Amino acid sequence: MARLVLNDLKVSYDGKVNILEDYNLEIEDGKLVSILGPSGCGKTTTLKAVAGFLQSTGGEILIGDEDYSKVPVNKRNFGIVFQSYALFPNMTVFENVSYGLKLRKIPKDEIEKKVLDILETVELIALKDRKPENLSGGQRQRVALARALVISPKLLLLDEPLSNLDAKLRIEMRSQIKRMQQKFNITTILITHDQEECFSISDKVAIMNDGKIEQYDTPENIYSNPKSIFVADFVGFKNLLDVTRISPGVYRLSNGKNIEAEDVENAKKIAIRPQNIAVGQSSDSFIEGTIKVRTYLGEDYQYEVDTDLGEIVVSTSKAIALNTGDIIKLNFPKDGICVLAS
Amino acid sequence: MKKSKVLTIFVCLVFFYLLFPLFITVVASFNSKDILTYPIDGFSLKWYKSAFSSSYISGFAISFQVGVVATIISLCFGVPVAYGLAKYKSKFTRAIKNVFFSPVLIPGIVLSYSLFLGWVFIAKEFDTRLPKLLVLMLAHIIVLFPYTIRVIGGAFEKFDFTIEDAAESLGATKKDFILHILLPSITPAIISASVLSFITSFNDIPISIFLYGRGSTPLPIIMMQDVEKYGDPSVAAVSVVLLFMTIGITYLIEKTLGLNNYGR
Amino acid sequence: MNKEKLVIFLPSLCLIVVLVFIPLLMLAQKSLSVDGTISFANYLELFGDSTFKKALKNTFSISFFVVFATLLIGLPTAYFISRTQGRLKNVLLLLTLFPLLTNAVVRSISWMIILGYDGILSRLMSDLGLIDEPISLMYSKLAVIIGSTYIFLPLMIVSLIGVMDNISQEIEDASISLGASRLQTFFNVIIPNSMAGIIVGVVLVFTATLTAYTTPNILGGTRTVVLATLVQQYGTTLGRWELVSSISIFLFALTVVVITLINKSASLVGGRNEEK
Repeated sequence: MARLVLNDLKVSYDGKVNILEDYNLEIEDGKLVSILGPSGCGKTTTLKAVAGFLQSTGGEILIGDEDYSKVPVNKRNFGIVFQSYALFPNMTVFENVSYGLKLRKIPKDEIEKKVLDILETVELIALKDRKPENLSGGQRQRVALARALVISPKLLLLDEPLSNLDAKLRIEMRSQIKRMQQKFNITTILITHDQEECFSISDKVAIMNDGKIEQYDTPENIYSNPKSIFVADFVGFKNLLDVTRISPGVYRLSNGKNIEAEDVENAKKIAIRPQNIAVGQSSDSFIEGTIKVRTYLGEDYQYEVDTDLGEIVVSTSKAIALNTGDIIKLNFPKDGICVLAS
Repeated sequence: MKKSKVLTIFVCLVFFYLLFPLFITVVASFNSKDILTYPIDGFSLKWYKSAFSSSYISGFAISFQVGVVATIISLCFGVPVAYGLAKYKSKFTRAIKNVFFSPVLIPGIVLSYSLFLGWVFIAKEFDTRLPKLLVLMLAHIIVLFPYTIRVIGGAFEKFDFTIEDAAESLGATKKDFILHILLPSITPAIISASVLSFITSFNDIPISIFLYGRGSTPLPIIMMQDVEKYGDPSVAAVSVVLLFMTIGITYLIEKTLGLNNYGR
Repeated sequence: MNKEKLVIFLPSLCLIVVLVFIPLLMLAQKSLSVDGTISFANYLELFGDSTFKKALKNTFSISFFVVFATLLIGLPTAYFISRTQGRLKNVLLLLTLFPLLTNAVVRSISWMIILGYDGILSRLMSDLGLIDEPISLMYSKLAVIIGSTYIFLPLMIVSLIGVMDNISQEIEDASISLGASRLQTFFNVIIPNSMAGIIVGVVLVFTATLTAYTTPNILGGTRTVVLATLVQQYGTTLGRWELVSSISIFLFALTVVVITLINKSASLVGGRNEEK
């Protein structure tokens, strides 16, 4: 196994308009990378192109030194877990998992050993003679994972693998996926629109918008340091405010007040998370507002506050409960602000 | 997804097989000689003149009358049954459903003969010769009945019967509910069922074999007899007229209902 | 049983009883009576009748061939249509269904032209050097098989499309991603998961061919007799009415038995639908 490189990949459905253009992505050997984005951003297209269901019209798909962009799907030897799991309804769990090995003309006893081995790992050995229709969602998911991994693929592709599961199962399954991925030490691409799902298990995350990668970084960096307005909005910076830079490190808000933050030339907006806004104290740059809506989120309260900058979302810990109609003062601490140029 | 070339060529051949014969019929109907052949010896429209001759026209009239009456009556019987089968799901309705679908199991020609025996019985015992046209209509009603239930039943299966309670709670009587809510909501299904039934009746031959009489011979039977006897191109000309009628109806269905509601 | 159910079901129940059950009983009674006494003589005569035996053999062999041919042609065609999208799919569906809406005479005429003496097929064969003299295939078993396959193919295709539409593209993709070719995927995944539609199609086509009257009458005539045409020929043409009733009952019973057998064996083999 070696690292995966997508080099200037081009994909087009009709030969005219490119859905993906000059698409570049590098994944280190044995790492799990997520491609995250809203629906229609091109993440599924990326997966289909890498898998080979869509013929790329230009560029390379390199694993090591070998270009896979012209190799037919059935010769690529990539393991794919589909969104609907796509288990064969006519086959038992065992038959599903052994299908890929049978096609490879592997001797029967070896197939049996490999399949039983992997079914053991995903804890499905007792259900090996069941048909998919008699399995729960999580069990189907594990069969799909086992079926994709048993062929010792060069690359594992996961297409929204958790979107059909309920919340509790999703958390269980994502650590199972991570465990398997590490056990097999396999380079993996995970496609998802769920931020929490991908941040929790990815080594790196590529955030896509409109056919392009907006930011490719570790989850921690993306979370705290988004590089574009789109990414900031997507990863939960609920407050995005227009600013103009008046001197290095000083920005003017639309209500005329100035605030300080890290210096970025051509800054257009600042972003700040609800929990990073300080509530209460007076300061030079505080903003006053009225609480319109209070929602209880378990760990904390969240308020929608009406200010002269528009609506701002703030959260406080349970200890400080404010009421609708209260007038409060908001402060934007320097280190909670993220300054964005594009 | 790309499709393999071999498959595409195969499917083209299949559609050629499905459609080329119809094309041959069209061409053969223009022959100047009085034989059915392809390619034709010369061009002539004379067979269309005989296509509109009295025997075909009266056959058309019979088939049309039978088709329309049988369609309407099988709807009158079928709609309530379809409603009942969808609303009440019990052992009883499942059993009774089999009774209603039983005509499907009986070969048309067998049904035709058994009804002919009934006609003979009434003629003998009650000294009444029922008009053949009436018997034809009764036979066609029986053939259409299961189709009607199936198509209308499809619409009722999707109908939410709590709506009936809702209407009642708002003060509607049973009659109001049927006229204002139930029937309007299954209108598309009634139209498909009518068209499907009429075409089925209009084309059906076996069910009429033992039941037609002088002056009440349906069109397809006249055509079949002509084909058996000599088969000049006038039958082909009638076929072409019917083909275009069918194209017209198909086009209307496609425009108004969409084909997906059809034939399933 | 409440009043509403009575109003809904009773009229139609009467309709079926009067127009189906009673006539069928009269038919059965007639087939079992000779000169006013109950007897199996008609059936005994029938089973000894050589024309009947021939017709029975023809009916079965034709039905088997037609089911086989429609399945062979229908499977790839239905697959192709179910994997087509948008307008083209509608057009293909329309072209498939259209022949079903025209009557069997219209559809059989062209086969007289194709299969008749010195017809299209005969000329094609002599052009290819297969035959020296013009031939006629009319009234042969082959003619009935070709014509019936043509007539009933749309039934098969429509039954198959119904299930194939429900096989998701992802399942096919999964098979291919695991290393299968398209052909392997068709046999390993598409066909096994189309079993429900295959069974419906087989039942429909088999019973339709078994009981078909018009096409065998036009293309088979008196030379290739099948059970349905025998009913008519023994009745209106030859006046052997005593046999008509027994053939009719036999044909009816055969249809019921065949449908039951296919469905039973299907649920034995498939088993899946039964378990739920």
